[in-house]
Amino acid sequence: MVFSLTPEQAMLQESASRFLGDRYDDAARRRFRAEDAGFSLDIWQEIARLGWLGSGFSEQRGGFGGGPIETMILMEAAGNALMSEPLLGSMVLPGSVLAEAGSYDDLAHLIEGKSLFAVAWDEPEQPSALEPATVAEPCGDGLAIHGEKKLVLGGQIADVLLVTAKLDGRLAILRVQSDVGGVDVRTHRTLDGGKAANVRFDSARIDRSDVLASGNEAPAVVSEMLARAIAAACAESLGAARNLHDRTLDYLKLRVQFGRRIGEFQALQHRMADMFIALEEAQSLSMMATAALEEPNGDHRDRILSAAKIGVMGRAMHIGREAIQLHGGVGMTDELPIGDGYKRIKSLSLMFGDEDFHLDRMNSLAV
Amino acid sequence: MTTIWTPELRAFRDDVRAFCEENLPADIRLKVLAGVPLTRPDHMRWQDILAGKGWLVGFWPRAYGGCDWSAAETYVFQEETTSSGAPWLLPFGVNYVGPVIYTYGSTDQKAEHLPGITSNEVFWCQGYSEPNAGSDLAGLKTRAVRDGEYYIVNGTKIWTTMAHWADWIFCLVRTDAAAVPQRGISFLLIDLRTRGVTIQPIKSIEGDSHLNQVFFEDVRVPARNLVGEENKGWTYAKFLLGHERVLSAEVGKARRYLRRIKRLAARNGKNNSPRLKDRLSRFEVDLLALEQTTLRVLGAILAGEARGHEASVLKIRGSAILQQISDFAVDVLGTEALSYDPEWLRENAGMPLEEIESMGVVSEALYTRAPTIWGGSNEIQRNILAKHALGL
Ligand SMILES: Cc1cc2nc3c(=O)[nH]c(=O)nc-3n(C[C@H](O)[C@H](O)[C@H](O)COP(=O)(O)OP(=O)(O)OC[C@H]3O[C@@H](n4cnc5c(N)ncnc54)[C@H](O)[C@@H]3O)c2cc1C
Repeated sequence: MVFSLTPEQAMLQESASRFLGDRYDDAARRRFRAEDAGFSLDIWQEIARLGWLGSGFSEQRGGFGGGPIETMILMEAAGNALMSEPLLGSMVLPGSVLAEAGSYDDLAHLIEGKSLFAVAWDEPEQPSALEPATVAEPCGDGLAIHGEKKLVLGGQIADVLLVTAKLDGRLAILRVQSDVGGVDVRTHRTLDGGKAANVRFDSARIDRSDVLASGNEAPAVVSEMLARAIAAACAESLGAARNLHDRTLDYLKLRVQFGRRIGEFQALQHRMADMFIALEEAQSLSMMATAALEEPNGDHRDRILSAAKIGVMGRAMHIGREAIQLHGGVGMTDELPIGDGYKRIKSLSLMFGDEDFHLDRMNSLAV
Repeated sequence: MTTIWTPELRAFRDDVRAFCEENLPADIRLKVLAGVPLTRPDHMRWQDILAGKGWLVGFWPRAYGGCDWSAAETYVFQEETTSSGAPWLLPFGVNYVGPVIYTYGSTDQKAEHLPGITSNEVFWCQGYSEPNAGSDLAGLKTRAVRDGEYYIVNGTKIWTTMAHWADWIFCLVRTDAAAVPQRGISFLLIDLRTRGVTIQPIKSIEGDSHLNQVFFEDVRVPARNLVGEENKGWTYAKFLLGHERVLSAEVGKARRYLRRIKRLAARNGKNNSPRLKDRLSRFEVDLLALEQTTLRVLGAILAGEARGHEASVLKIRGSAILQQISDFAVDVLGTEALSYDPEWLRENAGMPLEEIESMGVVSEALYTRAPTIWGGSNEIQRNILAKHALGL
């Protein structure tokens, strides 16, 4: 698959990699992670000013005229820099929900970096994202929300939570200010070294006008969000895998044992060649996922996205394991970012449906 | 086909099993089952119990405080203890430096160092690897220069597991820079409290700090701490590695990990998944292949017919299987694994199993990237097989 980037897309790619090259190194990432939010709010404001947050949305939706390819470009760059800012949790997921639900004022706030959003959709015991156990019940003029959400990406710092819940027995998406009574945000550390939150709603009150989507619209909004999340996770994993691939290649050319650069050992050359193949294929599958987002929602698209998720994650994990192994002892240290990349890829492989989930989905949609 | 399972060996296995059941402290067992990193006191408490029973150095000759265990008994002991949830027996004193000292050391060295190992009073660590000498260990540069009754040691060792908890370190040092690399190396025992020794922790990917870099700056080591002859250290180092021949298979530990996966799967309602059952059965096949090969190797060792390269087979397979199983446990956890905080885990290590287990599983899976790297990486083991077993 070949994407020819438009001049604007090429510029975005160029500017993203320049910005990350200038502002983002291992020391910076460590510093940002140590901040309360688990990332740098300053960097978030800067990328908002650079137009990143609106790059994936069309103009009629308040964006800058882009789409899935722009998102892919940014996610790949963020993955490659092992960025800790929650592009997935605070840009892709809520951006998709707000755009699909037609909440353009909120989307404008997200794009400008004025408010931070997060989507609370995953639950501790929930078979399907479309069947939450969380409920919204009539309460006075408004609604009261009860329920529990886990792994809310960006939830540790969000001003506004977009919450999936059952309203009158049907799926709805609700807009909740994170600081209102009855919302309990519990921040925790994550495997990749960042943060996320578990959120409990105990009679959290909202207005009827905070129902962003309901009826037939809500499931479509959630499905679209998950589709975009999968493509974005693929692009980010690919970026992280490229980072590990490149570092390993550099290391094989640098490290000397037995009086030779270890890259001269044919056993390692073959391992590196296999990593290279894995990277190429992951790249192809990630592009395929992004291209699929332009297709109408349906079985065919779901199948392609599942295949991409399984394929990219498997290959990126392979690269991650090999990167540690071929670095030897230093590959095991927290000091080098190899472990960070590995843990990020592992995290992404478990999010938005793990391999089992997507194998089941492919099997059930078998052609 | 011969079997190593004599009635005596079976009886011994039952003894070890019963002993663990009665004597392994519940809190330590819980930590091990959960995969929580252990503290120095955890290790020491369990090893004190073994020392009390006389089993800490069971495979040593009776003359030095051991029980004269055969290779088969040594293997059974490790399999049973790890399978029951006992901590990994720290090998540095018991398996590594102790046998070197009783085989090559002087009478004075035996008297000075062996009792501290058998009684579990002296904590040893291993100073082989250096920043530029890992796989190519013979390229090591830490220098020991003779000055009267002392060696003056300068240089650095790295990846030194648990050096921050240790009292002594056994080191390979260069005593002859002119000789071919392997010939200029000596085996030196160094008290870590000596002036000029600094220990710097290294944090690893699971977020713990078991690794260290040890620096030596004009460290004066009494010449009597040289083991055996000067410049013969390489021979002793190779002897030492031979002692681990079948212990790197770690079938018992892998079985323990598999039992845990079943427990986690049941908890997450995945235990009836055909895909999961397939995976578990495949792991079982791999473990049987490893176990039966280990037993065959043991048979050959007991019959004096082992060829030497078998250790590489067991190390490659044992480490790879352990890695796959521990990684699979994380997959079984699913997104639960994403809530991970090594500091929290350290602080809450005493909590009930269900509360800490998911983080323990993740910690262990990350740390288990290491066995394919350490102890002669799996690449180096394959080189050994290609050359020595296959003549390529
Ligand atoms: C958790 C952990 C604990 C450790 N504990 C100790 C300890 O207590 N004491 C101690 O002394 N050491 C310890 N080590 C060090 C360990 O023994 C070394 O990491 C190992 O020998 C590899 O050396 P290296 O890290 O320098 O990697 P390198 O030798 O630089 O190897 C880098 C990569 O190149 C490969 N490679 C190298 N040469 C060849 C070749 N000829 N052919 C093919 N591939 C090759 C390696 O397999 C590896 O994949 C520990 C290591 C770890 C990770």
